[in-house]
Amino acid sequence: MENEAMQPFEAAQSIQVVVEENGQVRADFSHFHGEACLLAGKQMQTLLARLGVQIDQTTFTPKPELFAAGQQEVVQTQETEQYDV
Amino acid sequence: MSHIEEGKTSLVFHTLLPLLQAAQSVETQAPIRLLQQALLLVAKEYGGEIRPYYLTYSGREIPANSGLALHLPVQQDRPQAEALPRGMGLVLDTQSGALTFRADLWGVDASFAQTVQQRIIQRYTALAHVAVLRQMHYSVSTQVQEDRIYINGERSHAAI
Repeated sequence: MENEAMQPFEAAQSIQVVVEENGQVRADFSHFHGEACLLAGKQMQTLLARLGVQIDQTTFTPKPELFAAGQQEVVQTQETEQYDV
Repeated sequence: MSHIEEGKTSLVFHTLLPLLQAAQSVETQAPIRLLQQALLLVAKEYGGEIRPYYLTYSGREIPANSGLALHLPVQQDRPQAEALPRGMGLVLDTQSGALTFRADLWGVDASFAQTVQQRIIQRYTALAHVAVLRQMHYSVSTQVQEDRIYINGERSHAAI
């Protein structure tokens, strides 16, 4: 029997968006490595802007995991974007 | 990495400004096709239809420069004021590209008109997110629960 190396399970990157009736939008970014979630968020905003969905104001609030990312490797990450339409 | 971003967004169609300012049709442009899909969803929900114009109280037709206006007839199962019998035009400001709603709301419940506007924006925002996530090579599924629209995009690390 062939000795197979164990591959660590890696959850798929996911972006979960909830659009409220009043136009408020919440986007959760999960299972990204390092700064990849920031790049995905930026790309999403750029593409949304081309379709006319424009973010006029944005505040940036790091979660505790953000500080942990600088000290050790983060396997599972989460990011949340929230804005109103 | 984790963080929270909060902000205000608005529907502003900058990419359509050159066409709008040249008084050319924008109806075949991607954002307008998406806007039409959003409007169709709302029209279906309220038993209405889409026309390219809205009406004044005297019955004069005013074309919407998006080519889209939502008309909701009076329904027997709803109060008479919860209808848009003269339609509500989706008009793009030719200076800023911002989406505006134009209607003669005499006899119309103002809060109903506001709800319809919000619903159009909600549907459009959701459709735009779906389109963008697909463009980013995510597998997308959607679900509507009560007044919320849930969109889930997933992409395996192997696909990156």
